[in-house]
Amino acid sequence: MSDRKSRNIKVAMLARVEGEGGLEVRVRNGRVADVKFRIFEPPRLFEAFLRGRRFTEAPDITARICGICPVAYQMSSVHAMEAACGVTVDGQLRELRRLLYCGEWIESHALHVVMLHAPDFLGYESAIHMAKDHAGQVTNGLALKKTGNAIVALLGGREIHPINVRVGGFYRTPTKRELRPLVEPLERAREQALAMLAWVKGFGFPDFERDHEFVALRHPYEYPLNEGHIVSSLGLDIPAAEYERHFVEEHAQHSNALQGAKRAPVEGDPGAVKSYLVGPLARYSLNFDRLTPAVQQAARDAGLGPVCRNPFHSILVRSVETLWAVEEALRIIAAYEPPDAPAVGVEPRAGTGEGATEAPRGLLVHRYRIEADGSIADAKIVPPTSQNQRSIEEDLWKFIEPRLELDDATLTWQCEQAVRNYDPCISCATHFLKLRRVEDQRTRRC
Amino acid sequence: MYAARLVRALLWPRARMVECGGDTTALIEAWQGEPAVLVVDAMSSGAPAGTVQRLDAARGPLGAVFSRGSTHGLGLAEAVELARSLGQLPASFVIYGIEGEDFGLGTRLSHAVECAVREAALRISEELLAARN
Repeated sequence: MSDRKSRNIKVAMLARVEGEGGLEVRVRNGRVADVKFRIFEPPRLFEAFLRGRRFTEAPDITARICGICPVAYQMSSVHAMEAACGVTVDGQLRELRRLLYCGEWIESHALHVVMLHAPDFLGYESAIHMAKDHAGQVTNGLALKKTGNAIVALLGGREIHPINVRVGGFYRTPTKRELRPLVEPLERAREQALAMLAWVKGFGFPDFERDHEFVALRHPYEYPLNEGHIVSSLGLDIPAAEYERHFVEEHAQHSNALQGAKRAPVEGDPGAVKSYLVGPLARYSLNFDRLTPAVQQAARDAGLGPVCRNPFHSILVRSVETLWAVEEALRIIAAYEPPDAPAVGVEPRAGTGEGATEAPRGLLVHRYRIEADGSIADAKIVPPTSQNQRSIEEDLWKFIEPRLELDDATLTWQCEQAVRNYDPCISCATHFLKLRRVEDQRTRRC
Repeated sequence: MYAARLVRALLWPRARMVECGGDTTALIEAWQGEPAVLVVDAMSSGAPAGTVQRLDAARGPLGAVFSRGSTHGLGLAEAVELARSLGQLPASFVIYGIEGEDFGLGTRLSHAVECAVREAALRISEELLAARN
């Protein structure tokens, strides 16, 4: 034991998509010639060490992929396993899953809007700096986050990496009485969400639109969380089981990150792919009619139309979705009747199952192949971050082009803000972005 | 958490104890109205495993040793500084940090850290007793 004192154990590769991002801009004759956005992503260790584990362990293991959206990973994994086993979870168990997901959306969106993104719009280095001048809004956001956490803690067993989710349902379901204490905070949260939306509505937004192909779930009658077909703004409409027929992940040479892409074969290039966008803008634009009339009106009052193509408006859309999630949570609690059992029985069988759910940051797809004895033979997990990277890179290229006259510090700031439109997992800490502008043959470092 | 539970279970049952499993922003509300707060947390500063550090957060900003630097949650340092910005930091705010050795999932406390936990619990109890008197 004594030699352990002098040992240094380092983890060279962490199994999360987060960390520093690098950006290199190449300028030729006053035009952007190339933009490379680098993310350090390690090998998909989760997909590897899921192999051989029992199918029932997937929700607990995959929850560890993310500390702020563990419910998303749990939901995609249980739906995929249930699909493989030919089981459907319906009724109040289904509603409880939606309620749990609402909790995660509320806390994730509130954190991102107030603590991560708003400082960019208001010119603050961080939320801590912003809090001095906007204490009321920061406190409001923290209260929203607390309410979301309370839902996750009650239904999931704890706020982070819930432990009450299982294939087939839950280990324990709440009584009506146990859900009742959530009502008052949620009713306050409705006002808090409206206040958050009113606040961000007043921000200045760069005039920047992109013609993304939006991809999200769409349900026959609900704003999507756990169920629905995968649809796109260009007419795609497929069940989750067909995801890999239309989408791929590729390793880009300039980055350690896998990049999602949509198959777009053309004559002479059957392997051609293109970018697409998942997340709040996609989800909102493809499902505006599934929002309640009150939430639709709140969106309109905030200046949004049924379709939103300005990535900087994602902070508005997240605020709208926070309001929707609060109302949806209240609806579910009001109608709740405890189910007869906390879970349905799920017997393993050899086969493959896919699960696609809407994480706060966008479509999250799991696919598992399991053996007859219930062991996991193969796993594939495609997070929204992976799927959005091409779009992020393309957006940055188009965003930077008309702004080359800006000094490096200003341009770096705006690029970081642009990245935070898409995914907080990438934009982690202050000075996360190292902008390296390469002009002609000279290199200027920021 | 082990240190806090030790203090509560063995030495100081009447102190109000709050456990935080990850969302440190919840602590800001937990310490509302409290004149004095003492926090114990793991840290990764590069010091030898089992080192116990005492920091007086009321005096000034904390260093990066308690900063998680992640979008997935605020570290203790960020929560403290956020509370300071909001005017919600108690007048007395002390942090005991225990240098960790292995932060891998499912690992037990190492011998060095286990000893440090006991040391921290004793020092915290002494401090609480001194404050009470």
